[in-house]
Amino acid sequence: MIRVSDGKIGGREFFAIIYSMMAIRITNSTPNLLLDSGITAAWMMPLLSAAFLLGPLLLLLPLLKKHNIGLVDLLYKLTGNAFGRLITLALFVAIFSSTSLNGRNYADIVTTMYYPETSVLLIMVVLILGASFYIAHRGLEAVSRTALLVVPVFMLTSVFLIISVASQLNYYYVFPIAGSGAGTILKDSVAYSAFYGDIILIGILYAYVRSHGAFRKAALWGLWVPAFKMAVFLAVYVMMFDYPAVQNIAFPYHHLTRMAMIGTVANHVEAVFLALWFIGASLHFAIYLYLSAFLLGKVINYREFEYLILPLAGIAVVLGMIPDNHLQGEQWRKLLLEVSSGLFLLLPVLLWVLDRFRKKAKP
Amino acid sequence: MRRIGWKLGIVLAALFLSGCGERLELEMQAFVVAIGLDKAEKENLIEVTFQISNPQVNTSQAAEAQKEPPADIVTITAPDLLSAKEMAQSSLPRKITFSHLETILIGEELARDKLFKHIIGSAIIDPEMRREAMMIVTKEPAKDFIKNNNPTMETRPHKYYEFIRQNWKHTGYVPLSNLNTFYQRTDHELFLAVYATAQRDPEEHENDDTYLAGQVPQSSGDPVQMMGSAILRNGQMIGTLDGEETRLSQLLRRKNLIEAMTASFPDPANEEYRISVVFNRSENSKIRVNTDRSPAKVEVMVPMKMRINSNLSLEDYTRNEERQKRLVKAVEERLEKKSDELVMKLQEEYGGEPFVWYAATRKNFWTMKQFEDYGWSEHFTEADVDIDFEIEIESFGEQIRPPSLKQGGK
Repeated sequence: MIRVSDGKIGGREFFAIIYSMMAIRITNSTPNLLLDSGITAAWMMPLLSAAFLLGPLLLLLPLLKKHNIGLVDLLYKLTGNAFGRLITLALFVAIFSSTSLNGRNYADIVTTMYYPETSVLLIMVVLILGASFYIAHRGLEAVSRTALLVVPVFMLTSVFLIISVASQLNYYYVFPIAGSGAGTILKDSVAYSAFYGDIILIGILYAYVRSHGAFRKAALWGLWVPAFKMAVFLAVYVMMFDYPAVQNIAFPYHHLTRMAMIGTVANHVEAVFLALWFIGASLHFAIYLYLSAFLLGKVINYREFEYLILPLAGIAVVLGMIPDNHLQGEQWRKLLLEVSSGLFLLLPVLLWVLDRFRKKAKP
Repeated sequence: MRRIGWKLGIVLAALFLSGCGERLELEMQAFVVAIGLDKAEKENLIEVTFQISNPQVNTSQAAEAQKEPPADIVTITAPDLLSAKEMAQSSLPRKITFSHLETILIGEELARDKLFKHIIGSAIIDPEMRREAMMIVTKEPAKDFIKNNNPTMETRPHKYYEFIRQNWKHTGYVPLSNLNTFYQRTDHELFLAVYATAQRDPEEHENDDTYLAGQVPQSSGDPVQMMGSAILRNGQMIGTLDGEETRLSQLLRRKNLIEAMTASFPDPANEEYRISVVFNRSENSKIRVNTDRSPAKVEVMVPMKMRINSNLSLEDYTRNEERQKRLVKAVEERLEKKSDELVMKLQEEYGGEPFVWYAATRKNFWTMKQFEDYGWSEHFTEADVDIDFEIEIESFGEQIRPPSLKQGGK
């Protein structure tokens, strides 16, 4: 077993990692996907997605405890070498393509909203090859400590942002309560549950977490806290911009920070949010790069997987530059989401069934 | 040591040089504080007026710029705002930026034109445009308004607009209308924009708030008056509301943005005189829309608090509960009557409502599609509207009873 660093990580650090993987999704174009399908009821969808994922997560937790190995090793053990390798490859493709597509999305936000004259390539290079690679390169312990350091700040600033726009909100705008209808909402919540699928994926780090109790607690909190944050922000977007205008805004979070005001004097506070958001984004991609490298290392049986982070970061930048604009990437992203939602929802069920079956077969 | 120094150099360079990427020096920027949009003579072209603030005036650097005016005004004829921004650059050495743009003025002629919704709809696509900018419709072309607006005390134009906006919250004569609310009400809902003019055309009314901009009897000072509102429907101006109607239309919303307002009423104790009161609102109005019946029924309850800070008739209100009750009843009845008239006018002439009642109506529906199929704006034109003001007297000012001048005169 490869030891990334000397010590294992604790529950709080692990929660911080999960939080920085998932919570930042409120700031990219994820809300646009949800608002398009849920309209005024989009805020329910993250909660429903999280509820759908809770079942698979609760199936996975005892399995991890029983075998006391990470998700990838569990896959190899239960599904056999070839199948395990294939599923690990699928996981790698899901997470790595989302890294590069999302990376492009973030670069587009920066060029559209803040730095119109900087090239997308430069921002991709600085964000992924620069900041994120550097953080990921330091190893899991450094990543988790960084996360623990900044996550409380993100949580506080989110609350602060909502307070500073509260006076401009009208809660009537979230009606009609069912938005596009209960059927559509349920269906799309399943399809988009990959937004919280990370909670299954981080099972691969099981062996690095100090105890099962810490893992379980962090995973459960890491599922509902980001989902709840997403729900609150989606509701705030609707209450701020109202339907149908909210569906037309490309990056609602960044418009929200522009609308935020502290008293009457400071009404250009978006720079503060931009700086913090950029730190959050680098951390987010650092974790994704690290996990991609970890999975790829398992697939190709390369133990020193940390050497893979740099080439992967480079490939992520190159792949991210392929779409001409961020809306072209959006279609790919939607497809990727639906496929990986299925993967994350069904994988724990498959493992659980296999575990049962083997126990009976081997008396 | 040498190797560390090299790494340190990179880190420091990244730290200090990264800001150079898209740097913009303060003195290289032209801060637009107000934009005026007008119809040009040629079809489908607009005249865009930029009011550019001079950041050196009235600051510690003023000594260096003593002869510079506080603002520069440039008018450009162009197909849209974005190209006008670029074309203005042909005469301006500084780079135009909208980051402090707070006010968009629209000439009434353009606002009434079909072209307007295309202009304003495409303006927001520019990421530099901020959704909190205020929208003002001017009676004359916006470029004349900007030119004629010469406030004596607020020489710096951004302060002028900022202060005047603060002021609106305490009068309610004009709606608080920013671009964000404009884009919220792009369907059949009515959007109210501030109505302003720099041309005086004074009239004298008995009521203190039934004026439209320009009519307020004022004889000196800055010619600009902002009063009443322009009604926009589907991004096109279709009419105006005077100060009183604008106030009422804000009171009838669930969430009132007016902090306080003063209005005068005929005194029930002595019809010869009027009594001026200050209204405060602490609670939200209650709006109930019944869409199950046809025609739909709207019930609105507006709670308000009233302070009697002026009393022309010098009748004693403070110790006479009977009179207080009569006053409250008279005020309530008058407000209800005026509101009914306003609703009637909107139903018949404009076929929509600016009261955000559509949001309350949405509560009655399960899905957005059902609400859209219902067609609120058509149902509103026939709806029964029941408006109820509930007023409490909060204070009587700083006199226990009016000065006893009246008795002395007898």
